[in-house]
This record gives sequence, structure tokens and C-alpha cells, in this order.
Amino acid sequence: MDIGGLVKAFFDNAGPGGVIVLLVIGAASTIYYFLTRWIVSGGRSRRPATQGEHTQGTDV
Amino acid sequence: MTMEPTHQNLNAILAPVRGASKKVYLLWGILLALLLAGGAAWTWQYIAGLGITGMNRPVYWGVYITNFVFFIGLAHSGTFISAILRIAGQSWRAPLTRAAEAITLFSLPFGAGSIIIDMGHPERILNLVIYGRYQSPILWDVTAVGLYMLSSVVFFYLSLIPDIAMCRDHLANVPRWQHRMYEILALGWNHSPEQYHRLEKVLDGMAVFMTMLVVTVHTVVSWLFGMTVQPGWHTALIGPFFLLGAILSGTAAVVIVLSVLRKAYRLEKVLPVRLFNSLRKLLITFVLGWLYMMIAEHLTIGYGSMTEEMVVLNDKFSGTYSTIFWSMTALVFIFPLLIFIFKGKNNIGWMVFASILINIGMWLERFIVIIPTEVSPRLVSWMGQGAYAPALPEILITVACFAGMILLYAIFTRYFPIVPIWETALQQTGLPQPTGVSPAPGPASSD
Repeated sequence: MDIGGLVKAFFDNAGPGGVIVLLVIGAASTIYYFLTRWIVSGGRSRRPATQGEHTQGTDV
Repeated sequence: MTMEPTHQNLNAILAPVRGASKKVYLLWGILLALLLAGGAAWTWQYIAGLGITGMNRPVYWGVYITNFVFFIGLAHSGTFISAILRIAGQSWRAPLTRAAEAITLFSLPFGAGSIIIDMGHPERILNLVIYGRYQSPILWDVTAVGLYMLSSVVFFYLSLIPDIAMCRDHLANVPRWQHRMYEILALGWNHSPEQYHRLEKVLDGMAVFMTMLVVTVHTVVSWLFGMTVQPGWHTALIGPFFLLGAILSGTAAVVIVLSVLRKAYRLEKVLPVRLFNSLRKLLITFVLGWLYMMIAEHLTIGYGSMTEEMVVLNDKFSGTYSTIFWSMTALVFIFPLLIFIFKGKNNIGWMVFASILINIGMWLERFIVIIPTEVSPRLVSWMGQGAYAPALPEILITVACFAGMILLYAIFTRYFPIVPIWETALQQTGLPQPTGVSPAPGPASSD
């Protein structure tokens, strides 16, 4: 496979460059959305606190 | 089990979030007035056209593109402090990460916005989407800057979530809407060890990605110039030169912002002098690196003695732009280096002064890279000798961009803790370290 030729063709031909921009930004947005959901969901399955397990928060 | 971190300076960090003095609102008012003045100037430009600016044929890029490069450069501060130093395991950076990331977040819109202002009519941006061809560096730039903006927002927000949850839990006497805002933005964060574990994991991964992105962004910005065959621009050095300049001005901006926050919000205990000393060492390194690049670039061009290149070079060294060029050299290199070495250690005032000089000098550097080449392009015999001086709308819009960035920053520090509570709490010695969370870095060891 002529990879060099493929790259050359990509740069030499007129094409919808804007679509690539939108694809990159769209793909990143999707990944970030699921990463954020994954982080936050780490607190959902925790078991109820038992006696002796206190939060370490301060009263402000 | 929850593991909400405790912080011995929690009261001091949350104090600005609880309420603000009249002085703060007065500052907002002044900045808003400047921003509106810029908005009026932009409206004037929109109606009358770009002909009312100092730009002309062949000087198509003026202070708007100077601002674009400068603001994108400032935006490198956050990524440098948060991502690159995170990867390098520099634990002293923890208290200043958010302040640095906020510079990134609030300078990027004005950097990207400067391009749109330069277009005259903002709807022309659609031409890039509809007719864009990927062999154009402009499209690379849109991709890189767009992705950088998005990633910076996410990186910033993710590390802010635990602190927003603390605001939600601890700030009872704030207006209802403010509390509701914390509830929504906290996304139900409950300080579970698993959440912190996942957050650390993602931030570590993103730090590597952001480091690659920051190099890409400013290199691509420089390629807007470097991929043309204009004198002074068409050099392989332009990428690293732009990148180093960006990190230099960004780090200097962090020093300025931190000192203002330290003074205004009385955060002396949270932002100790040793942090500034660490930044001083970095700045000395960057200033010397910048000088190296500067000499390498100009010496190479000078030895080549190509006719078109020499016109621009002579213009900078001894011609029309020599005052700006040598002022820039003194402001970025000579004065700051002397100050950092002889006066800067343990003296925040001197460090801030040097950092202000660096940023003024770096703005001039962006100007001096762009304008002399445009005034004397390679095809000067066909395009004609140019001249450029910024007009009133350009000055007003430039001032408005700076005012807008400071205003956004001031509003943010009013409603959110500017020192990361959870990251610095984990650093404090003597506090219990939660299980299931990445080991906290050791105590700050800057100097």
C-alpha cells in the first residue's frame, strides 16, 4: 500500500477540511463526556457508611 | 466511606467565595466598561469595514493577530504548570495549578476571538467549515486551537469538581442560586475513594495528552507564518521559538496573577514565597532559552544574507522597528534576568515587576515578528512597500480583550476557590491518606 501516495492525495485534493475539524472536536467531546461520567459514577455504588466511618469534612 | 479532604487553610481559601467587598464590584464595573468600549469599537468596525483599522495592502495582519499569538501563548501557562509539571512529579506546583489553568481558560477565548475580529465579519468563519482544505495551515490551527480549548475546559473542570462539592457542602450562607449552581456543577460528587482514584487516573492520562497538545498548538500557530515563504517567517526554528516564548510569557503571567491573588485574598500561608522562588528558577531557564533561540534565528538569517531577508532584518536591527526590537530584547531578556538573579530571590515585588516586563516584551515580540515582514514582503516590487500603525478601533479592542480576560478571572475567583483544596489538602503532612487513592506527593520542596 502506497501510504506516501495516500498522504499526498489527502493534501493535494480539495476536500471538506471543515468536516475533519468537526470530527476531531466531536470525537473529543464524546470521549470527555464518557470520561466525566465514569469518574463521577465511582461514588454511586458505595456501601452505606458504618459506625466508626466518619467523613473528614470540617465545619466551616 | 467518604474521604473529603481536610485543609488547615480552608477558611482562608473559601473566604473570597463567601462575599466580596465594594472594591471588587467597582473593579468589575471598570473592566466591564472597557469591555463595552471594545464592543462598541468592534460594532463600528463591523459596520464600516476593516478599512477603518490601520491594516492595508500588504499589511493584512496587525495587532489583532499579534493579540491572537500573545493570548494563545498566555494560555500555555496552565498546561505547563498543571500538565507538564504534573508528569515531572513536581509536587510544589499543587497550590498554583488552578490559578494557572484559569489563565489558560480565560485567555483562550480572546486568542481565538482575535482571529474572528480580524476577519471583519464573523460569519466568514463558516467558509472554513464549508470550503476548508486540509492543506491549509489555517485549518490545522482551527483544529488544534479548538481541541486545546475543549481539552483545557475539561481538564480544568474535572479537577474543580471535588472543590465545587466542598463549596456545596460547606457554604450555607450563600444566595440560593449560588448554592444551586454548586449542586449542579458538582455532578453529585460525594468524595468516595473510588471517585478520587478515577479522577487522579484521568488527570494523569490527560496531562500527557495536554502536553502533546500544547506543543502542537503553538507550533501550528507558528506555522501560520512559517509555511509561507515570507522573509523572517520561513524558518524551521519558528515553531520551537514560538513555543518557548509562549511558555515564558505564560509562566510570567502566573507569577503576576498569583501575587495579586495572594495580596487581594490574603493567601500568604497558602501561596508561600518558596513557590515564587521555584517559578523564578523556571523563568531564568526560559529567558536563557529564549535568548538562545533569538540568537540562533537571527544569526542564521544574517549569515545567509538573502536580499529579502536582509531588508526585514535591517528594519528590525537599525531601521523603522529598531526601537521596538531593542526594547523588546531589554524587556524580555536583559532586565528580567538581572532582576531574577540579583533582586528576585525571596522578593515577590521584584519578581512581579520582572514578569510584567517579560509580558510587555513578549507582546512586542509578537508584533515585531509579524509587522516588519508584512511591511516588506518577498514580492515587495509587486505588492509595494507597506506601512502600519494601529488605529483607534484596534487599540480599543485590544484593551477590551485584556479587560475581558481579567474580568472573567475576577468573576471566577469570586465564586470558586482559586487554590485547589483537595489537591493541596492531600499534600499536607500529618493528615490521613485515604486508601485506594494515588499516593499523595510529599511536602513542597521547592528551594
